[in-house]
Formats: sequence, structure tokens, C-alpha cells
Amino acid sequence: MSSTVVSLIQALASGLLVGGVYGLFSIGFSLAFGVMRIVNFAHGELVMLGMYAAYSVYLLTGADPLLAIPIVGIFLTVVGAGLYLVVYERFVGKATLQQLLVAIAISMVIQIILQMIYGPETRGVQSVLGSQYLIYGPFFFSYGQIAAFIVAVICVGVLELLLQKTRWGKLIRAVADDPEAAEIVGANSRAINTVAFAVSCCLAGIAGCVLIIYYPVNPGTGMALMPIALIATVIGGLGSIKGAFLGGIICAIVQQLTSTFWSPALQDVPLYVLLLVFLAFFPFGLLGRKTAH
Amino acid sequence: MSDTAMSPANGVATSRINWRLIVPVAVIALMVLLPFVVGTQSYLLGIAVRAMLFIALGQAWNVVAGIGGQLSLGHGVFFGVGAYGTAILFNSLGLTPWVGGVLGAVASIAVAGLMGAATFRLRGVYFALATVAISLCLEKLARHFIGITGGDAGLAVRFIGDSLSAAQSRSPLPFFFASLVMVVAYYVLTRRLLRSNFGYQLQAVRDDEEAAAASGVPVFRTKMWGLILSAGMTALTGALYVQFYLAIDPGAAFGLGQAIQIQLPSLIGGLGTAGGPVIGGAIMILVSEVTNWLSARTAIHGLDILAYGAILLIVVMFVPGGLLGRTRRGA
Amino acid sequence: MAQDEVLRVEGVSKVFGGLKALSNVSMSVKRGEVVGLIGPNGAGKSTLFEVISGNMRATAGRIVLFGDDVSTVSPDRRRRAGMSRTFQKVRLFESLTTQENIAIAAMQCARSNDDWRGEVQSVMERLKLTRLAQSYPAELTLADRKKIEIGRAIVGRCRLLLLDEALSGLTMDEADELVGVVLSLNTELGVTIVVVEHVLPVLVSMAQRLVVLNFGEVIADGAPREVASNEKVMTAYLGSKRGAFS
Repeated sequence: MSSTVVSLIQALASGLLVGGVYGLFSIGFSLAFGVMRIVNFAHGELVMLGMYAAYSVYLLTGADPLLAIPIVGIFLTVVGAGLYLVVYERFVGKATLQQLLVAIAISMVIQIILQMIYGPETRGVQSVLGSQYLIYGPFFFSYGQIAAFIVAVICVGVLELLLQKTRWGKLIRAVADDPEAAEIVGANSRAINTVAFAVSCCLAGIAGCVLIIYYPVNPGTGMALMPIALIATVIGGLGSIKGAFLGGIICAIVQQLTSTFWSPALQDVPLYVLLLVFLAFFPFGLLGRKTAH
Repeated sequence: MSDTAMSPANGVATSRINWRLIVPVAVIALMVLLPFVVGTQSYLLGIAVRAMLFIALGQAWNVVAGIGGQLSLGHGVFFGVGAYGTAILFNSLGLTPWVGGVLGAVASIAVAGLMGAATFRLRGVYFALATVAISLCLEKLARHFIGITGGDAGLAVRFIGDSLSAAQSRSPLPFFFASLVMVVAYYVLTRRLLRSNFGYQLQAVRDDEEAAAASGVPVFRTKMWGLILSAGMTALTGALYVQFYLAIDPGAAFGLGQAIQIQLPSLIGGLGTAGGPVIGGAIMILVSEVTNWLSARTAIHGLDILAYGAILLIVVMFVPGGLLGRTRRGA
Repeated sequence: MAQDEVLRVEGVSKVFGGLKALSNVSMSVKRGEVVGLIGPNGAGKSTLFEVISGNMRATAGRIVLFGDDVSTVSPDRRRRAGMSRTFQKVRLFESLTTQENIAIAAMQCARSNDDWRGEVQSVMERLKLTRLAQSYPAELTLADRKKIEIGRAIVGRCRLLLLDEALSGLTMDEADELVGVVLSLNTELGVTIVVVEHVLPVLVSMAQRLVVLNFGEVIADGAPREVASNEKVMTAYLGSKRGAFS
């Protein structure tokens, strides 16, 4: 195999592994948009909050971030429900401007509070998985990334099952599809929105736990992750769950390819171009539902 | 067609004092006197310049976002092009910033045209997302192409001492008056705009695009000219900024933080009003000075950002129209 | 082509995805007419309205306005050419006053020597809006809001006015007043009017001609009394053969 082919396969495979996690938190972002039409600019900060939470659990108990998933997941669920009821709720259905600004304000506040607590330094954990590699011929993969991918796939599978099979899941899908129709059927928007937003944050928290295994965190991490969630969601189709997961994988693969064949510093540039192309020509993304207007 | 005024007092004789004229004139007079009161080398003058640059950016953004309702999160692009353009032309070609600034504005207008063509089919949130993408993309590129932009560290303007042709000065005094002229000019422009046909077109598009089209307003063209005017104003402010600070870096030019700071003065003071960005900008600078002082005392960093975030949150939640706005709107 | 024809819809079809909202619709409106456009919910009235006003492009067919093919012309240019519309749910510029709402349209459509300020004043007088000139729409009743919308539509050389459910949500008295105003526009200013309306009895008394749409097709076109007793129309409206307007 020529080295180019090796690099190509390596980039594609790494992209797939990293993309699973991108997909995981992008789903949360997409869910908030699909159900409440909220573009949650603070989503990256919520993932970062999950990372710091897992890091804190690690500092206090020495537990591996993977073991911290339940507690961090619950923590973010509570934070999400609180944020929704205290702040976001009053902006549902309001002018985009206000809603966007409020999310931006929240993201600034979360970022600075975390910086005050943990300082501006970059922090990581010594996970058993993070530093070990699976080597297969010329290819190598971090166990951390593999574990993260597996967790992401399990979470997405469970979420999909919940959305398909449970009453709450069905209600959430109904509201996402058509808020007015759902209202007529008698779905209580407030409860559903709260649950959906909490789930969105929970997914961010879980993604934070698996990310911290191989991706050290600093107060700027949220700002770096938010565009990825945004781009993945737009590519997949704003509001589409499967689309967001697919979009996350595409984002990660594009990043890996760019950094392998062009420059790691520019790995995000094609993503922005992709975002613009989708916004301009395919505003409903790959799997988004077209509406009449 | 700038005098299509339909003032509320139309045809009604008012004996009340015209505060809308007196207050701005009094503020301008006080500002002109400031250097003579605090001294021409005062630290306070530097703060005043910072405040007025901040206000001018807010005024520029207000044209397309406040009056025209196009929520751009990408104004860092125009600011950055103006600032980098002026600095690069001076450093590498020795071109005077007086010309460089204008060329920067022209370049910025060209970028605005492209941006508008690419994004104005998108409404509301989609437009905001597209503009933020363009801004973040330029930030990455500016960090990468070190040869042109100086990379992460940014670009320092070659300092040649006091010089009118290079628009450089050790004293903040010339910058004080330059930025004062800019803010006053932008203020007058905004007031006239609000009462002009073009201003009404922008407001109509902001309130309801389809109703605007149904009233004969060319929607796309209105948005485009709004963005172009706003981009030109932003770029000129960027040129003045880089002359004053003699430095520019990718974060200060294209970062999301900058995009947000540009919005704060109008949001706090009153979106779509002439006085809003002025009042809002002044408040922001006061807050930032207080928090900087606190940060220095307590060694806690980021208090200014925390304060900005908190103010933004409070304003959006409780005073959605800003201090001068009619709170009914969007409430 | 007849000189006095202001609007001609020629074989217009509109397809959304797989759904055919309009199927080969043709109709014509002559100068000075008051035409009612009716049909059950989902018959394609709104779609036709949007296609005529220019907010939607037809999949096939042509829209001819004042003798010119405007099929690909933007809504704002159609407005400046003399065709204006109202919206089903009143859409005003909420941050501007009554007077400004009307003046915006007058400014856009005025030619260089037009006294548009005077026109705004006279339209406000005609609609009894003068005392509300400095009020903001949010402070006003639905009836006044509808009048502002109509005022905004008729300034600036409006020759053809499309009204989308102008009477819905009004009390009987308010509706009567508005019908009077609309008819006076027709008789005194010579404005041609096309009304989309659900309230059929009103249309029968108001319109000189009714066009009935069902499932995206024109199923009847003629004088109100004839149309009202048309069997197809009765079936479409009530699914029975009892009178459609009783």
C-alpha cells in the first residue's frame, strides 16, 4: 500500500471514530432546534461543562471518565432542565435575535465561571484508555477514541429507541415534526420542551465524559466545539436526529482529511465552506424534513 | 431622498423643549471640552477613544442589524478587513492610512456584496449562522497565513513617530478628535437615515419582509445596500482602530468575541435607534473599566466578559428593546 | 388581447413535492370588476393568491398583469406596477406608526411629481384613520389594523387590489363598514378588486362575478347567483345538494 492510501484510510477511520462523539453532542444541538427552534449557541459550553465535570470526578475519586458518565449525565440533565425553565423557555417562539443572544450570553457566563474555577490552563485526565493504541498493520487507533465511539453509538441507539418506543419519545418527535399539530393532540409543550432540552444537555454531558478521555479541556474548548455541532446539524438537516449523527461523522472525516493532506491548523476551514454551501443550497440538509415555507 | 421626514409632530405646533436636539448638542460640546478639562495627555482620553471606537462599531452594526433587522454575527469580517487592510498596505507598501483606510473600506464593501449575495436568501437564524461561519473561517485563515497577517501574534503597524501622513501620534489627542468626529458623523447619519426612504425600506424589511415586498420595497436590494453601508462604516472604524492601537490580531478582528462586542452597544442602548449605540457603548466602557480595575485588584480574570454576558442576559430578558427602545417591540 | 383586461391567469399549475395545489387554472379579470375567489379549505385559493402576487412561482403557466407577462417578476415590482394585496393574517410594520405604514408604500410607488404626502393624508381620511395616524399597530383593534393594511395597499397608483379574507375575525358591523369602504374604492377610484373570502353571503352581495376553485381547479366562473346554484359548487361546499349559501 502506498503511503497516501495508508494516510487516507487512517484519516477516514480516525474521522469515523472521532465523528461518533461529534455526532453525539450534535444530536443534542439538533434536538433543541427540532423541538423548540432554539439555536443553542451555548451547546459547546455545555459539552465543556461535561468535560470539566468528568475531570472533577476524576480528580476527586480517580475514577475513569467512562465511569463518571451516569453522574455527569444526571448533572447535565438537571442543569439543562433548570436552564430551560429559568431562561430559555421565555424565548421559545420569540424573535431569533433575542433567542440567539440569550444563548450567547449563557455561553459567555458558563465559559467565564469555568475559567474562574479551573483557571485558563489546559487540563486532561490519565485514562487507562487514552494513552494506549490499537495497532493494526500500518494503522493505529487510540483505545480512548474507540471507547468513545462505542459509547456514542450505544447512546444514539438508546436515544433512537426511546424516541421510537416510549410515549415521551413519541411526543417529542410529534412536537419536533409539527408543534401546532402536537398542541392539538394535547401534548403539553412545556413538559416536553423541558424534557427535550434536558436530554439535549444530558447528551452534551455524556459527550463531555468521553471526549475528556483523549481531548484535554480548557475554557476555550466550548467555543471550538460549538461550530462543529452547528455545522454537523446543518449538514444533517436542522432538527434531524439521524442527520446530526451523520453530520458529526462527516465533519470529523473532513477535519481528518484536511489535517492529513493540507494542514492541521486549517482543519476547520472546509467545514465552514461546507456550512455555507449547505445553508445556501441545501438549507434542509441531507436528512432534514422540507417544510412548505 | 433624504428628507422624507414624517415626524410625529407633523403639523402640530409644539412649545416643548426639543430634547432630541439639545441633548446631543450638549453631549458633543462636553466631549469637545474634555481634553481641556482633563489634560491633553490624560489616561482618560485613551479611555474615551476606546469608548468611541466601541460606539462607532455599534453604530455601524446598528444600521443593518438594528434598523434593517439582519442579525449579522459576521461584522468582525468588515472590521478585520478594514484594520488588516490599512495595516498591511502601510507596512508593506508604505501607503498612507488615509488612502489605505478607504481602500480597506472598499474591500470590505466588496466582501459585503459577496456575503450578501450568498446569504440574503437566508432568513433570521440561517443568516446569522452563515455570517458567523464566514467570520470564524476568516479567523482560521488569518491565523494560518502568517506571511500576510502575522498569524496568531497579529500584526504591528510600523511606528514612525508623530506624523500626519502616516496618521500616527504619541498623544491620544488626535485620535480623540478623529473618533469624536466619526461618532458624531455616524450619529447624524443614523438620524437622517431613520427618516429617509432608505431607512423606511430597511425598517419595513426588518418588521416583515413579505409585507415590505407587498408595499413595493425591493427587499434584496434594501438588505444589500444596508449591509454595504454598514460594512463600509465598520471598516473605516477598523482603520481608525488599528492606527490608534497600532496592532491587530485574528481574535480581535474576526473572533466570535469581537462579533458579540460589536452588538452590545446597540442592544443595551436600543436597537435601531440613533442614540442607543452611543449610550450603550458608554455604559459598556464604564463596566469594562470597573471590571478591569477589579480584575487587577483580585487577580481574577475575565470579569469583564462575565459582566458583558450578565448585562446581555439581563437586557435581553428584561429590557428587550434596549434603554431607548420601545419595549413593546419583541416583548 | 382585450385592452380592459387587468389580470389574466393562463393555465397556471403549482406542484409542492408530489402534491398538486393548482392544476391548469385560468381566469381573467377586467378593469373595474369586483371578483370573488372562493372554494373550500385546501382548494388552492391561497396558493393562487401567492402566485398572482408573486410570492410563489408557478410550476407552469403565465400571469399577465396589465398586458405584461409578469410570471418571473418579483412581488415588489408587481406592486409598483399597480397590483397590491393584503394578507390573510394582517401583516403591518409593527414598529412604525399608522401614517408611516401607509407612507412607506406611497413612497415606493410614487413617480417623481406625485404628491405622495397628500395622498397618504387623503387615504387616511377616506379610511377614517387620521386620528390614529401616530398610533402603533399593536395598540389598535383588528378592524383598524385591517384598514391600515388596505390603506397601505391602495396608495401609490393601485389599480388592482387583491384582498385575502379581509373580513374574517370582524364583527358584523365592522365587516359591513369595511365592505362599504372596499366597494367605494371600486366605484369612486375605479380600483379593480379580487376578493378571497370564506363568508359567502357577503361575496354574493359584493362581487359581480365569482370564481370557484376546488382541488386546484376552476369548477365554476360566473355571476354570483348562477354560481351559487351550480351543482358542482354545492357538492364541493357541502358534500350535499342543499343550497351552498343558505
